[in-house]
Amino acid sequence: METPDYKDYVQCTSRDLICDPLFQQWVIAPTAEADAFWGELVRRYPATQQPMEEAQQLLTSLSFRIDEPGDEIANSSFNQVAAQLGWLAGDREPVAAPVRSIRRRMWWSAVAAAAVVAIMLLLVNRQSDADREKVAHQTSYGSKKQVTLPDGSVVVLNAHSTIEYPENWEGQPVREVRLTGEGYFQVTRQFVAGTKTPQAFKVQTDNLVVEVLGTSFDIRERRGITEVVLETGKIALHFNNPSHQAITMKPGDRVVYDPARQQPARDTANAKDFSAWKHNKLILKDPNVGEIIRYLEDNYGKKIILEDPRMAERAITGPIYYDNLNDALFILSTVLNTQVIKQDSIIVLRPRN
Amino acid sequence: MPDQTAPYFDPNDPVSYRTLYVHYYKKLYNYGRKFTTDHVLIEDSIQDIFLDYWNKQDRIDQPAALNSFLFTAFRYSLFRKMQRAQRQLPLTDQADEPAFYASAFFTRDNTPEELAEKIRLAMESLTPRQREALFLRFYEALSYEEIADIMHITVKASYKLMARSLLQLKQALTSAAWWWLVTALVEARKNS
Repeated sequence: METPDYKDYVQCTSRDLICDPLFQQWVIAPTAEADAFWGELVRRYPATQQPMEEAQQLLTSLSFRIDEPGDEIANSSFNQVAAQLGWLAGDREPVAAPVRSIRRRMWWSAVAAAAVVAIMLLLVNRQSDADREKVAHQTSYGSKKQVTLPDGSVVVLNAHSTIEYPENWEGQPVREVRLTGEGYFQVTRQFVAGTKTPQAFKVQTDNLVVEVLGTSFDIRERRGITEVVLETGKIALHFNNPSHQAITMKPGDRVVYDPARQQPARDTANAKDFSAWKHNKLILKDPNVGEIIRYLEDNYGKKIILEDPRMAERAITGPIYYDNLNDALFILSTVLNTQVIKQDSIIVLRPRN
Repeated sequence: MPDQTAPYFDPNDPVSYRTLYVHYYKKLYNYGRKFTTDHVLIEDSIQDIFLDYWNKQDRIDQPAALNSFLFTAFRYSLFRKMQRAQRQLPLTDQADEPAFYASAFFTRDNTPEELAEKIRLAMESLTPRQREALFLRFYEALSYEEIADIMHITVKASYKLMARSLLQLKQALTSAAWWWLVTALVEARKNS
């Protein structure tokens, strides 16, 4: 790397620094050498301190979602590759293996396919004998959890929710999940092992079944009312009440279903907003204070009482950011100009005079 | 930041092959998930490029060159598979270049909320290629030369692409700070 010159940076602005590869390098992977250089620059030319801080703040504000699989998945993938290359577990050195022709590779895939079919048959037989092992994840009030399903699909469970599914989906025609509460789903496309038939994904709730072929969506089932919002892809809703027809949803659609009322209602919603709870942002569609309070009660398991019930009708627009219940209560009490009085599991919002 | 150091690779040590594979499997899978949720396609692409790589006689074993080679080969293989899968769907007659998701970006927890929201919006306003360049530079810590290689552009173009993305972000950040100041002033006047 070329040695930087202090003089080049005397007049620098934060714009210059943001785009400067050496400055970036220091932010990405600081070394003692780089620390010394940038430290010395500020000492010699104090005017560079402010632009440096600004540039640093911008560059460090960038961060990324991490989707790294675990060691186990990576190792089993390696085993498949090693098998195709004809390296048998440990007893032959990989380098000793001659260059394999395409034909050889195909032969190996045929063996692999045959093995998959055999295992499939075994599993199908086993399944009819005994019930499969079930896995369950549960979140308590005020907590969230991200769960990776056996097929790599991801579910983010909101507070006070449960998800249950079989430990292993291989060889089954359908991937089935049972949900109570609220979950955001990102479903991967899968094929039934050894075939080109897509493996269906179904989420069962008390009121309905969501059928999926690779997509992301949010299901919220609270107090007997189910809301489904589709972000991407295509899903079909099958209602447990046979008198309702199935509904096919497009991205951006929202379906609200209250079994106590008659028909499911369909409108549009901003799917990103609907699932904003994943980032601790609360965005309900044109909410009033009453709806926000119900949402907080569902997720934190507390009773929230408005001493002035008229406040429940007040509309609030825009996102409410919160890290925890106290944050949310603080925001509400500021907007409504109330005190927050806590008594065990009851919270009272009392108007200030 | 992830672990940036590639494992030491010794072609005469069988264990080395597994270590190398596991290291890159995680990295490439993570990269692939920024373009698609279809993990079958990602898995196939990774297996394919390693099969090709280990089937070659004159292999690149030098770590820096290997890193760039694997990223380039993976991106090419994944894009081809995605485009082929897209063409099989009814109602699409042309396959677009896969797009890097805007949702792959997060802001750090300690970023003030108004600012985080502005950065999120700015991310959505960037082109997928701009987002990808930022990811390769600030997550994978790759050099401009490597990024140019992987994204099939000249080194000069990679500097331009990065600068444009960063300055667009800076603009969003500055206007957010300004907006915050104005709101604070209005609030202060209301209360006085």
